[in-house]
Amino acid sequence: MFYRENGQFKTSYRADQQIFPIAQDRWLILALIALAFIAVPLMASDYMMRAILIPFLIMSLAALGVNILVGYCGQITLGSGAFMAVGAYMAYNFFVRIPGMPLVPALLLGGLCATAFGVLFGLPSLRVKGLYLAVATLAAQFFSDWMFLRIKWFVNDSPSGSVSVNNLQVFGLPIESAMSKYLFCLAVLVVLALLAKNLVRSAIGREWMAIRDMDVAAAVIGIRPMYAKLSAFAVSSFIIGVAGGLWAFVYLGAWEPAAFGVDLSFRLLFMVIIGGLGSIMGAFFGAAFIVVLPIFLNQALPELAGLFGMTMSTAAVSHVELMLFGGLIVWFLIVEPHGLARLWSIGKQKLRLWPFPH
Amino acid sequence: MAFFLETLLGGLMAGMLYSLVALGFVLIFKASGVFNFAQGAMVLFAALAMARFSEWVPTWIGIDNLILANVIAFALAGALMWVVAWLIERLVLRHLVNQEGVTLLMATLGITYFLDGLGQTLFGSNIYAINVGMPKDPVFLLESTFPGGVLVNLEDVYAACIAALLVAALSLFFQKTSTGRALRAVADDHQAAQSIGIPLNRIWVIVWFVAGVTALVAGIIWGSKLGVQFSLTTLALRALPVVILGGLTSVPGAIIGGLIIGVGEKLSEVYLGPFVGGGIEIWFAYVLALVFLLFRPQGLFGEKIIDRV
Amino acid sequence: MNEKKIGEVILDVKNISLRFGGVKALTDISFDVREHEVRAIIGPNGAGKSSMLNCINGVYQPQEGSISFRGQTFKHMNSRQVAEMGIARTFQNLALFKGMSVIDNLMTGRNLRVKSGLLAQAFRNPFASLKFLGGAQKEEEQHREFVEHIIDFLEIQAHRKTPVGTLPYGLQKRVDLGRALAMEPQVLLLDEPMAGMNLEEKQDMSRFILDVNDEFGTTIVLIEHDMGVVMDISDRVVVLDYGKKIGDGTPEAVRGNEEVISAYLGTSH
Repeated sequence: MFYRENGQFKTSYRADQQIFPIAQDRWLILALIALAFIAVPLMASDYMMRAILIPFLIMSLAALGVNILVGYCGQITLGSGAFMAVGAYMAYNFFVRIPGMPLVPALLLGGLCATAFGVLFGLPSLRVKGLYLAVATLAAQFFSDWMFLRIKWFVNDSPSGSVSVNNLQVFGLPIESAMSKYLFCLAVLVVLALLAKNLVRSAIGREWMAIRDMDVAAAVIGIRPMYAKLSAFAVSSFIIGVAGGLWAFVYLGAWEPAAFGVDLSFRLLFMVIIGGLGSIMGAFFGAAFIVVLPIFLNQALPELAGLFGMTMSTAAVSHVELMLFGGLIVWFLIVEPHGLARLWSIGKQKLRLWPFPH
Repeated sequence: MAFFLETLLGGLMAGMLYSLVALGFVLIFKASGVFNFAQGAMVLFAALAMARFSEWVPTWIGIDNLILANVIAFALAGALMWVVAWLIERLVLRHLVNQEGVTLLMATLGITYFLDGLGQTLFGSNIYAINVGMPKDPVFLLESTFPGGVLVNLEDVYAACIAALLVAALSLFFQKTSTGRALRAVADDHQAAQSIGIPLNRIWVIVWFVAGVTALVAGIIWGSKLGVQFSLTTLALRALPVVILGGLTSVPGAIIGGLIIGVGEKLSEVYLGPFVGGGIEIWFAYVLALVFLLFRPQGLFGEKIIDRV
Repeated sequence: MNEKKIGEVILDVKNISLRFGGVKALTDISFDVREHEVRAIIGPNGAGKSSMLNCINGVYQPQEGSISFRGQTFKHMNSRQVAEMGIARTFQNLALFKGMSVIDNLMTGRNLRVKSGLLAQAFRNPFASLKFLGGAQKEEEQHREFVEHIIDFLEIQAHRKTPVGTLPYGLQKRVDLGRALAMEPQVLLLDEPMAGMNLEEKQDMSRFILDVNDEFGTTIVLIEHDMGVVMDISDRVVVLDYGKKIGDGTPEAVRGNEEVISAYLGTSH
């Protein structure tokens, strides 16, 4: 490896239990955060931020939430789009109906509403699991689709059904430019990711993983499956709800219910599968993959086709994208069910011996 | 009253169409324990194949007879479904033997996306027509009892009969043949079936092929009625509640579940819809399934699932 | 060796009957367990021994009978209640959390005693160098210390961070025992703790069990097939056959019991 990781002996449990026990990892994360907060806004173009980085940040947050539920607690969900929708629409209602409501509290309140919705539609998990639970979460998804389409109160009685927000600001600083949006999303992501990481390595995280691995044995140790599952739904839907608020307010600006349909739920699940179930880092990998891939394909495929003297319509590109997604899902499930995150840690393991074994 | 009957019959007919798709789910689950999310995509893929082949065959072979063209197209589409089944077994199922259900479910999600993309690449993404000679005329029944009569679609009646035939054939297959028995063994326990010498790989190809043919029939009927278009994949999502209601392992359950959901959707839309702003159809089936999940997860006719410590 | 002080009756099983549909797993079983003793439950396969433990544990609900713990009688035990009362168990087929490390598995045993709420855990101090100490972090360290004692006791230090699913069977059994011990139980139900072990491993496991009984005073109820082990370490024995009790007493008494002998070896009729 390029640096030595061994020789760092911990003398207290606290040192062993911290988030990044190896010093080099701590430095790496610090550098990454500095890069993200300082270097990127200076160097990245507006287009890069609007089209790639901002959706990446928000989707990472949403994928984080989904990973807590699916990867850590083992409860499959196909309704995450609905949680994002609830977070978005309720934040909208708080923002628009209460004069002077600041942005951040509106988003957090939207998240809390998503929590309530999530706990309600998480109740079936106490009775069923696997495919049956997936069907129950689909019920949440379709119900939410209908709710925001037909119940006019949610959309502030807008006749077309679509709503918009403008004039966003935090502590007086406007969130209009690409850079301000990027920094805002980054800040929210870092804070929530830290809280999530804390939860996941604490007692509640172990409860979630125990339920995932063997819920009968968990009950015998004294873990209450009801509390564990519902808390997973609650925490997960809060994070997803806040992400939904960000997606609507910061990225879309104006939206209608179709923006949060079942297709979004599938994409989030795919992010988590490809990125790595049960890993905070996996959410980032998966989101990066799913956000960047279509853009990459849109550029690369027509070029590739051009090499063979053929043209490729955008429709054709989207078809190939579908096939690639599907193929990759299957490939990952067969080859590395723990996703990119596992490939990453395996890569690091190999790098410890190559090129310079210590 | 006549209106109620019409709604009811309309619901039954719609439900029959759901049942056809649900049949495919039940078949694969019964025989391999895999829940095939890709069934809807298979219906669309098969329907696309049928539609395009019936268009292309006359130009390839230069024949004029519609029936002959359709028969050849059917055979070609069937063969294609066999290839699909074989590929799925080879590339996906073989590598995921004995993984938990959730992994397999997600793999079928991946297959869904893949088939979607492949179908549109191979066959195009416009709306295509299927014409297999189904009568399109509406018929008025019971004109003596109700003034004006009750409007029934002949096409739907034909579809119902075909579906009934298909179900009967499948039931016979499962119960009376040795292959059917092998399929049921595999559904129960992959490893045990393997250890007594049942060739898992071939069984799976057979099962997915049979499900593919079911998908083809369903696709033809749906496509003949609505035209072959992308929205057929949302069919899969609509058929899911049907298998929950009927029970994942029950063929009659798929039929009855489909009928219940079809009727329920139509009736609730007409009679409950106006109170809550309409559009109930989106979630009615799912909420009904949800209720069942809470109180009777195995559905009306399914087997009870027991967990041993 | 000191004379062990065996106390009063701590667990009393009265007239337990358990049926699964038409199959009678247990018929009218009664026996008691005294504090600090090692009580073995033996019998041929299918006699209902695991089912008996499952009833005590709240995994199965018997149709008839009741169970008393420290004087409190219950018709139906609830798993969490049982755990809170101080009864822990291991499983015949190892119900370990395969995806987690050894340390994490043991820490789940401490879950009952975790006091910090969800929010406190979310706002835990993530870095060792930051000086402020939230309640959740302190508690986590205390539990870690307790679990480390168990790790020392069971001699599995080298495998702390290994995912449990990758450990050899014998070590997994130790982790199973460790997780039960992490609950600080008063009564420990061990379901065939030595199944599938060789002689050395059995000696180690016996030593652990006796140490637990000795040092912590934990009452042990033990299902075991190896007669040598049973005769050696148990104070009293219950014998089950086809769901009925056919023997109850000290190992020597039970060994000479005709019914027990015929149940195991069969008699010529």
